[in-house]
Amino acid sequence: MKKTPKQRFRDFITREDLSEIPAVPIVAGDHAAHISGLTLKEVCKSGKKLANALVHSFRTYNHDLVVVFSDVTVEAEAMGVVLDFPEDNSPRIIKHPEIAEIQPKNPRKDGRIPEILYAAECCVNSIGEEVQVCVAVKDPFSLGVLLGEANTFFRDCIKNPQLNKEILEIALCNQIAFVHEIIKTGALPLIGAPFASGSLISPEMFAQFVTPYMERVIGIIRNSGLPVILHICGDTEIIVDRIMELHPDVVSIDELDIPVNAARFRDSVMFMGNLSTTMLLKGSPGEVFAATTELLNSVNDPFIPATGCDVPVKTPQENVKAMIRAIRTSEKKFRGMTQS
Amino acid sequence: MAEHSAITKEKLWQELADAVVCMDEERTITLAQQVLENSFSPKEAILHGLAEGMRQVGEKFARKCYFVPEVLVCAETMYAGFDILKEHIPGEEAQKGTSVIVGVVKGDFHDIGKNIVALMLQTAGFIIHDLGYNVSVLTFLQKIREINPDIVALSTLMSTTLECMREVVHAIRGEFADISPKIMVGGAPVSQRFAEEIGADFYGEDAQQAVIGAKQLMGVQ
Repeated sequence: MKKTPKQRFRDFITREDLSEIPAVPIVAGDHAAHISGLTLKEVCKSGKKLANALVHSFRTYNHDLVVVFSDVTVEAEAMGVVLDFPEDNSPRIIKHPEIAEIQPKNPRKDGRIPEILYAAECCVNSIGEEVQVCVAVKDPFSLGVLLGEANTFFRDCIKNPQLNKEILEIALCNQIAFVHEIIKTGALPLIGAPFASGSLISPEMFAQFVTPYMERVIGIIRNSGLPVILHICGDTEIIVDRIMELHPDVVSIDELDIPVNAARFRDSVMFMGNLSTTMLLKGSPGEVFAATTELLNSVNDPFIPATGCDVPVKTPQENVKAMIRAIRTSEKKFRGMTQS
Repeated sequence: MAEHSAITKEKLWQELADAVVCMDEERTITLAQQVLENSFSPKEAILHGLAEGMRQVGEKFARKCYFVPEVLVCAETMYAGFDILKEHIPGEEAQKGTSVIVGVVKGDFHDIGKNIVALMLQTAGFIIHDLGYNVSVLTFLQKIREINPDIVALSTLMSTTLECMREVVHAIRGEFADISPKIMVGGAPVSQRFAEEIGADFYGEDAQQAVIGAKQLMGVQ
């Protein structure tokens, strides 16, 4: 009866067996470092420490998906963005590269990408039998925003679309090489799209600047026989149809009406989300338990209860445990899937 | 042009607003020049034309018709007209209006939230002086002395720099007891209680609240 988190997650997303609902607080490097007595700078700089922190967090929570992720700037840094690393905060961008200098890099050599791949290997070796290990890889659009300075990049979606498309082609080449290397580690690429969000761009912009590049990253994952998991930050209500055109297997979302959309797309996608991370940080364990139960009970169709975004750094461990406990002890049964 | 000589200022204000909303920079520049050629008030043109355009842009943003790229380009369009007109506003008058200094306090380099607030305030017609991030107390004080703003908006994302926010507020209150600009604060670790404790005039939980607060502080709806 008792499945490993890996079996539980796999059975659920393939809909082979929906009886055990996975619990996915998205524990990234920052919260993992916090509960492991490490600084964020340490896990950003060292793949070994990142892996240790993620393995420790898995041993602490026994959650159903481990995500290798330290900060959003890993790929951008390898491609020329200059960062500063505060001890206990995310790296900050000090300088952007000249657009003419941007080129795809070697994921085994350049910047901290090798550290991320090493962390993935360590996690796969250590806990990969028990739990699905993912590695966050940015969609080309979000990488483009980081490479080209956010306001300029957004502005050029209108003022100089050709330049943005050139940047996106280079970002795409970089991410394709990264995705191939992630797959070699035995981990699963998880496409993170922090800026390809309906909070920031219109569905038309999404179709023009996100879809063509994301599609090619997705194609590589799919051709490797792996499920496609996509995380999009912010409001996704307005771009949900564009997202569905990409045919992901799992969509992790922050702001979306899950009850409505899980029903609407019940045959095509598994949603994952969207417990408030602010509530997780500031609420009591009792409140977290109640909110998780309420979320579960509000949705009739299969979905994976998860945090809407990364678990905030200083979230009390008891709150993460309360979220997981609410899912594990729930009597919730989803109605079966319609076979297409 | 016959149309040119017959144009009323109301029509010009409307066309300016439309040009901003349509992101038509060339048209905005031409219309701003027409304001001057017709000896209409540049200040009124800014207020009823450019700022009105940005107000409409803000509405479109709220209704999810416009998004960040559109708002940025509209703001750029607005500034193309603003740069022409502001040169022709008498010195004293140019110093007035609803100007806001925004900045992230010293020690903090996170400026995404501040940028959104600045953008939304700008969209609502405020004139923004953005000092960026990691701004020292001294830089805030110098800028206040220079432009005599209506509002100073302070932001920080980190709990470790909350004390820097307190320092800035105290320094402003001490230094500018006479002109006393209104002070707004915001950012993840900031709370209503903290805002009251350090003597700020308004705490905004998000960018929309910041706009509402700025209007309240200026006594407009």
